[in-house]
Amino acid sequence: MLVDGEDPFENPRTAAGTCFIRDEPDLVPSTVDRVLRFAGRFRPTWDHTYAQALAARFGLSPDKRVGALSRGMKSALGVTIGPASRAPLTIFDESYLGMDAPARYTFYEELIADYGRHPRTVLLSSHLIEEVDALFEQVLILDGGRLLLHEDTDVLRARGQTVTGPAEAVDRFVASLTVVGEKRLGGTKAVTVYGELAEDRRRQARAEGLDLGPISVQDLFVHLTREQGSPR
Amino acid sequence: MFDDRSPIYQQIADQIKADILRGTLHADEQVMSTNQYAAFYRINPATAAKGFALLIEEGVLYKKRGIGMFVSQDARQRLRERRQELFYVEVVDAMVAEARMIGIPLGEIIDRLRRAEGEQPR
Repeated sequence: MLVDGEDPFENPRTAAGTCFIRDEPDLVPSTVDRVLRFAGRFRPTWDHTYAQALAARFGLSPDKRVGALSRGMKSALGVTIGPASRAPLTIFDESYLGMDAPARYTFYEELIADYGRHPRTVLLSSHLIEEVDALFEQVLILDGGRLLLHEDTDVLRARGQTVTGPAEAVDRFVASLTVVGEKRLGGTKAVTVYGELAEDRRRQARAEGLDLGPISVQDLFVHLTREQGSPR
Repeated sequence: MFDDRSPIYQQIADQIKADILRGTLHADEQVMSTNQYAAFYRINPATAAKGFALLIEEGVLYKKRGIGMFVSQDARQRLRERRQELFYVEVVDAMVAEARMIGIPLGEIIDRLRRAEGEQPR
């Protein structure tokens, strides 16, 4: 993997522009306020006013000791440092762990708003696909350390669909398509296919009384990774 | 917030059209920026921008460089005409098909429409 065309490993040039927030953020044992000041010292792009406002939104009091923070509050401090760093490349590696749903939503809101004001590259990894897929311009799916796909989110979304109807008609229709999953309920069959469907095929489906439905990125993810037989 | 039925940018465009049709958004009124939209709905700004691009292409919105996007003078009129064209196919024909399927005589529907016409001053 290259950053800006260079190997990022122990590379001071790329490191200065990279902010990496792990699931367990690296925090010096001190108070919230001092952790933020410390983080800012390494970042030419750091916005301390924004960091303080974000910390306040997450309910982090400046004089609270980091060691006394709960798991979720530690993560909140991590996702305060990330956006406030304004680094050209900011990576959140499952940084939401331990955060409750309202805090996570605050994080997404702040991230998108700040990204709008200061466009830069943000890489965010998550297992909670359903709640983050709308944030992304591009999606990369990793399976067992292997890159399974890299696609524009909208393109990916348009790729998957469900075909539902009488089992026989469904089977006939999907014969030439890539089937990634199927379910049966009595005489009705629902098949998930991967690949774009041309307009004439869509018309044909409707004419044969089949229902075409969209599929969420999360469902697509489940189908694409389950079929590979990777250990869970 | 968004269903999975159609792309999110399409839904954004549809919402703005609905606001114009309802009269919530007026001619020459400024619409929220893509960034405001993105933050509000927690979606990628590029996605919101796609929705706006669609509306500009259709002539529903126009752009003032450096200021923002505004509702076109004739947007409401044009949207109404387009929706009127679709009304009989998407609403009336679909209703007739549904009525036949579940056994509602068309005469009953006509009676009801007459009553609605009597109640509702237009």
